[in-house]
Amino acid sequence: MNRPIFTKFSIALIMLFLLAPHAYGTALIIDSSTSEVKVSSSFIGTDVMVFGTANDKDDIIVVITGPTETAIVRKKGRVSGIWINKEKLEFREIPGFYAIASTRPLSEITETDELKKQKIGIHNVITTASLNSKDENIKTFKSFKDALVRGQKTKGLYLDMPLTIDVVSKRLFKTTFHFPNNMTTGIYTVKVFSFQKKRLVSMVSKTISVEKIGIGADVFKFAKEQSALYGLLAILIAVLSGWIASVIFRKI
Amino acid sequence: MHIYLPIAEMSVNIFLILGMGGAVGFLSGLFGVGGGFLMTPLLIFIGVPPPVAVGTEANQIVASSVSGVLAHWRRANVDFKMGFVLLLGGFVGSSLGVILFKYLQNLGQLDLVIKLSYVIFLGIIGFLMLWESSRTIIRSRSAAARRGKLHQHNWFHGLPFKMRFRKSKLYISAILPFLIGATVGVLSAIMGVGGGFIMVPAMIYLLGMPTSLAIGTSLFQIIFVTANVTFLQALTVQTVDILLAVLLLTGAVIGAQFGSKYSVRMKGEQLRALLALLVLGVCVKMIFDLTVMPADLYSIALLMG
Repeated sequence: MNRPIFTKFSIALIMLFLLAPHAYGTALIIDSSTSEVKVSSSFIGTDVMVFGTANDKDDIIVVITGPTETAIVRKKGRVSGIWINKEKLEFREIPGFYAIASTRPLSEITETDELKKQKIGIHNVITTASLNSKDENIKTFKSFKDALVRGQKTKGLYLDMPLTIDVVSKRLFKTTFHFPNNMTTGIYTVKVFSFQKKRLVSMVSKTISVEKIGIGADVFKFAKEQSALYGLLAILIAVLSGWIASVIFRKI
Repeated sequence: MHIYLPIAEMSVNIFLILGMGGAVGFLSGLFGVGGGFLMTPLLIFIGVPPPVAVGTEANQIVASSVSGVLAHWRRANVDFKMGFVLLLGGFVGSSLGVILFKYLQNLGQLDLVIKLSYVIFLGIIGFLMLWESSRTIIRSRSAAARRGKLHQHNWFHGLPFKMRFRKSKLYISAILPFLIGATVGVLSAIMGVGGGFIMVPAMIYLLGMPTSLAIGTSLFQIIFVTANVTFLQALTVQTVDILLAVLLLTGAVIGAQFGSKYSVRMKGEQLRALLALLVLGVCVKMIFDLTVMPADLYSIALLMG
């Protein structure tokens, strides 16, 4: 076989493969203002803009999901005048961060079943399937899940109501998410869905990595990986500071 | 100006932390207490996770106890023999405490136990101190102080393993200081305190030690017990934030100097009465937290993975 022809053929194949998600004839292209969020010691949170182009009149939904965590939600009850934790429900593999934006209210964009199928909206992400199989108390599920979403929302980690997407021109859209300072590190996934007449026509995704840098990251790594040495160092620093303080202030 | 705390995993205003360290340091210098019982609740209040608050505060207390004990050592106010017996108990107690800490955390009852411990111990100590200091204030107005016996003889003087503590002029069973050390060790690990506010009264009233020796010796013991807590918490749950500890102790060291200068101008019993009110104040706050219906009945604990 002729080598150049083979190369051209494979490039064409790859192109075809890359274009496959856009098989409906849309040109959904997205990017974000950053692909790496660096959490340094002066980090106070940051804004990330997600933008892209889509077909005219497409409805767009943007979802950002953070690394998964396990959450234990506890409910307090009154026992002889004191409020103590009584019931608990464990949620497995729930996102540590969840943000959503859409051009219109979700119910106007597509059917409830489609939202469920694509896991769009926090209430379609955290379902009874997230429960630890040992916890069979499905009755209380809703109130515990609402409490979880409420708590994460207060910390700026969840958005239950979608933000608005600005449609800049007929085809260009953009939206801005806030990443708070208490977010966990890891890989965040950005998914952009485009709908036409309540039908999903395209979905593309990209990732944003959130990582700690600088002294903070080194300290964190040190504490996790060499715990014993870290503990000894913490004590040494404290003893030295105490001694230095005593010497300085004795002379004053 | 904000700074990101690597272990607490949150950004805080650097001046808020320095200010808190300074304020608690001032009070600890004023009253001659470690201040852990004020600092740990304050840290939790500004949003530091309770395990991190406890582990980090233990680390900070190491520093403040070192500088404290050096001052007492110079005045020969440390009974090392007594300190070692207390320390032995303290090691056992604090190691058990760290295990208990982890167990309660898994059970979801850690916050409850922390708060209940605060209520019980601060309540008792605060009430006793207020009663004692107000009696002293009233008595000093009415009559001159009488000189009593060196110390009372109680049932525990019959316990075995008697030891002679020359410095404290005591000949008592080693079991008692060991138990005091162990009890305070457990509390130190769970409450994130040095435990001086419990140990000093126990040494004065139960063992019959002179006040100045009790303070110096308790500081000596607290260094090692809080160092043990720091090490074990760093090893098992990784909740010691060195950066937070350094910020706190910087503020605390400076605050303590002003506090101790100010304390010279006040009478001992007045200081004790004020400290008692402060202790009772924290206690009432904890009772309030436990009994008033919380704004949100639900709480969330997140685990990685």
